[in-house]
Amino acid sequence: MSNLIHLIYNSAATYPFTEEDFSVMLRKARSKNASLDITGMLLYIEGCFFQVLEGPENVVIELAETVRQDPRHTRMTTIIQEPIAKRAFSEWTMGFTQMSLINLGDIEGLNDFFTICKVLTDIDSGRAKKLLTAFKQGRWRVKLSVATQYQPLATRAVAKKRRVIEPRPAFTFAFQPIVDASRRAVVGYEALVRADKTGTAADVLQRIQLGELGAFDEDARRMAIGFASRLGLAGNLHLNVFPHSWASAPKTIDSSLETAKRCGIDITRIVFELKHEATVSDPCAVSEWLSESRRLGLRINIDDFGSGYAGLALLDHYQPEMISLSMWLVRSIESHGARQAILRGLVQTCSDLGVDIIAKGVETIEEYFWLRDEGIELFQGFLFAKPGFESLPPPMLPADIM
Amino acid sequence: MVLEFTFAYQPIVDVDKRETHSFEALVRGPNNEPANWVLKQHTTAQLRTFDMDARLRAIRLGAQLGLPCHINLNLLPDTMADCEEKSSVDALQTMVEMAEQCGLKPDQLVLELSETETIKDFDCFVERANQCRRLGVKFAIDDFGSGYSGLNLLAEFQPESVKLDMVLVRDIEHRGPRQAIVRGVLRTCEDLGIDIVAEGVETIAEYEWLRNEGIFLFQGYLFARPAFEALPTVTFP
Repeated sequence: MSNLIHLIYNSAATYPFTEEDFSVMLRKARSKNASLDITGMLLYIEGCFFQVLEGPENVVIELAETVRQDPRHTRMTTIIQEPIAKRAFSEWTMGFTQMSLINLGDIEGLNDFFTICKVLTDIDSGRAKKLLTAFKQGRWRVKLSVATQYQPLATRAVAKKRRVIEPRPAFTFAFQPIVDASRRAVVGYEALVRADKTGTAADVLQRIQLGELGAFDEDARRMAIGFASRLGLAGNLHLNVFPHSWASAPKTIDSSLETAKRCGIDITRIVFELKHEATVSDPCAVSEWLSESRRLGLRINIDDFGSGYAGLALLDHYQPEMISLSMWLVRSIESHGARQAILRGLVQTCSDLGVDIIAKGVETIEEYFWLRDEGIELFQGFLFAKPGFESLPPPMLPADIM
Repeated sequence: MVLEFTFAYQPIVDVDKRETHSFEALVRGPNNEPANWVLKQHTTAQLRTFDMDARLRAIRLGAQLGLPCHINLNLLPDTMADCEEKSSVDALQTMVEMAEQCGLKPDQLVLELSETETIKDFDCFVERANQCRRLGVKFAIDDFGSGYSGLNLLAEFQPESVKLDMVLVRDIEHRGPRQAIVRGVLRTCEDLGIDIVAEGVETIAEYEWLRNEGIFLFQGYLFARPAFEALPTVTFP
């Protein structure tokens, strides 16, 4: 499998481009890109370029270097460069649209990028799409500059030899839904480990020896996948990952993938949940692990974001598909100005980076309304549904609550 | 053992007003050895006393040098947030009194909180900080946005300013994720009426990007290097 990546950048045109400039540039770009196996798209609006390049890693990086030297633009900023599982623009050697601010809202045909969303619906809901949406909303225009140096990832930690599996305490799962409030739909369930019907995850975890945690973690995920499959899970499956697993990370990913495949759950429906704090200890290993997971098509949620020692700088090193807000941030937010301000800042940062936000632990209708007004769409909490023991409980959706 | 140490001062500039907003007092060895050199000579147990003593000396020297503006002083929050320890209140009281004796007003003092993750008792910390604030003393959170986020501190305690960690400042003009983080921090701080100081600004490109986003308080080599036992003059870009 080749190492597919996408690189999304913006830049400022050094002079106003005419129709003719574009046709010359695009003709060259398209034939070159086809021969290089590069796909992607290019937007131009009022002197600002916004481009997605996707293809084999070394080719994209080399091409980006060439692009950077091009005198027709300047102040090139790499917004995102990361591995992808598949192309968002596989049919396009270079999609292109030019628009003014006025017609941004109602463009048809090939240019219906932003409204009828033919293109936006054709591409999956990955990062490229989110950044395009952010761009549509006026982000990432012109102000940025020059070239981003990409940081090579540390070499992958050597996978430990698989240990003999000891008998472990019996455990099972409860499932709690995550809802999309704007679509009024369940998008997925989080699998929560349980010892019995009334217990909590802590009951199970307390009984596990430190040395067994890695194997437990791997088994738990496989078991959760099997469970979810038997229960007929339709949407995403959120699985918790213990930081303990970094060293044996590739192995555990593989085993999860295998199980998912066998159970008929598409890999793209699996979301790995990683506690924000767990990312602090070894950023290089985490970064490598996240890249590997993403390359395989898994999605990552950084859970409990904003808690403890874990900082915003995480988002400087890598950009997960989604983050879950720390509970303290959600609690009574409707009446807590500082939490609101912090949340608005996070919303700003995440929308600029194409990172989804899940509000977890939402307990009251007031919390829900406030967050909803700020544009949060994904929710989980007692307000919608308690975790269902060995079942997929249907959530109450906001209108039902009202 | 009484260890010799002294201070260098580095300005924080207000580029809107084109004036020096404050001088941060940076601890130095007697021959301009860096801060770490000084800190390493103290055991953890001694750090607290050192922390309190250092502020008094920094104020005294600053006043002798004719400090015309604010002075930023580092504070280990632990020094202040130990509610078992009555001396911590007294120490801050002493600091304010000494500043006044030196001819400085309490509202010229800005306490920079670093290592805020070590605050064990939030409520106590906030209470003590508010006691100082009532006297006019201001607060800043240092190294904001990198490593420890300080978001939960910010939810409970809004300082007058936060200092954007230089890790986020570095090369910001061509680092997309950093830009997004800084915009978010700006949004939060704007909403909370907290000034942002961009620390460690070294290049004109970094300065311009940050300036363009509305930041007007800056510190870094681009403006002035720390000056040993002196208040350096500022170069405005």
